[in-house]
Amino acid sequence: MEARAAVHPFADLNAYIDGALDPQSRERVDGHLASCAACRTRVAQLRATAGLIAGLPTPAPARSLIPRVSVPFWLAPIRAASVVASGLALIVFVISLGSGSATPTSGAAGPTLQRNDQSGAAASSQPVLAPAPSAAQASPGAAFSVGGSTTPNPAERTTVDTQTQKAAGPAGTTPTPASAQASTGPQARALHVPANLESSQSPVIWLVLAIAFGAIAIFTTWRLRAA
Amino acid sequence: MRNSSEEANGELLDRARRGDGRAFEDLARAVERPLYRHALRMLANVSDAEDVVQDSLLSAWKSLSSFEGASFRAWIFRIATNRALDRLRARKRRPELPLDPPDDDDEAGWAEPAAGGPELADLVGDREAVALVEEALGMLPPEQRAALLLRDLEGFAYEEIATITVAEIGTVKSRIHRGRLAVRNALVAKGWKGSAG
Repeated sequence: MEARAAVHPFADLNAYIDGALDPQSRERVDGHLASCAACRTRVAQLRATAGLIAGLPTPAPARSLIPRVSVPFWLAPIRAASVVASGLALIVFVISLGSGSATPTSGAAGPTLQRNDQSGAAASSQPVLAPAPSAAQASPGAAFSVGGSTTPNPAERTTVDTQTQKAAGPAGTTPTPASAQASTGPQARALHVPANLESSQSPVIWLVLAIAFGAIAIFTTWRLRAA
Repeated sequence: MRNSSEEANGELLDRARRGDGRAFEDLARAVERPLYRHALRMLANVSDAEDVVQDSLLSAWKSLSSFEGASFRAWIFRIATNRALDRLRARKRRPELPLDPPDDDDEAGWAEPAAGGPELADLVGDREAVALVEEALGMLPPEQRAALLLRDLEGFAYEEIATITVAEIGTVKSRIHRGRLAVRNALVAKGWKGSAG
């Protein structure tokens, strides 16, 4: 026993305190401690030191340190719906643009008739402009030059001329813009105004909606990818 | 109760592995504060500790599919401890005690307490003692500090600490022994009396 007490298991004392010794080693240390006051003192002090460390205060972080990796369950369906809605709105916008260009034929006929009146014998050059409202809204000078440069074929001119006369039919064949408008009167104006309003407003609304839904789709996609 | 808690954690871990972000956040919430405490004691700097914890949790989420163990807690502490040790190595702002001091020098390393001082066991919660313990921990080599904190502050077993610090159990035992001895000696050097056994 004295020989055993002389060999102090100092290196094992902390493992002994922590319950980390194998059973045989633990039994050996137990036996030594029973007869060695110095080692018992060390065990007590080391145990107290461990207690001091364990008793250190636990400060809380000033902010959450948890990464946001979850996404709301409704985010993916919202994204899908936004993509579809944006696409549909864009399609309707394009269709609205197209129907807006086809609708106001009496309006296009007005300027065309004006140019027909002004050119007189050169009316054949004007009909080229009739199918295109943007060309019809161009300056008279440009219209004349375009008409002159794009009508090489008399046969075409004749054909287009016929088409123009047919298009101009409801508005009457008498040429002045004022008279054309006067001949059709308030009825034509009534037809004019709603068509103009409709063609100018509805495409914009659909474009705005397409952009809005597109922005929602982009945001939700970013949010899903960030997670 | 511990078994049901472990089962609940196991279920959360399975769901998180399958990509359930909320399950991962629940797991993270349970370890956030201990992880922060550990990082703060390792680094003694609030900003660094916050960075380490956030980076560790994010890294854990991204590599969760490759995690095959059963203890999420041990795994996240491993990530955080490694990051803290990397930061300390990069910092190198204070001279460190030598790593692996010679063996069997316990006789020379056991400081004798002064007579008349307060018992060590009575110092728990004492503000001055807390500051001394923190200072003493800060003077330890990083690996000893990590092992001692994982044992005494976080309650990990030696086998878990060996996994967390990627060391042999014998090395863990040695680090804890030396680290705890150093803290005890620092307290005794300041006038605290060790209690008799």
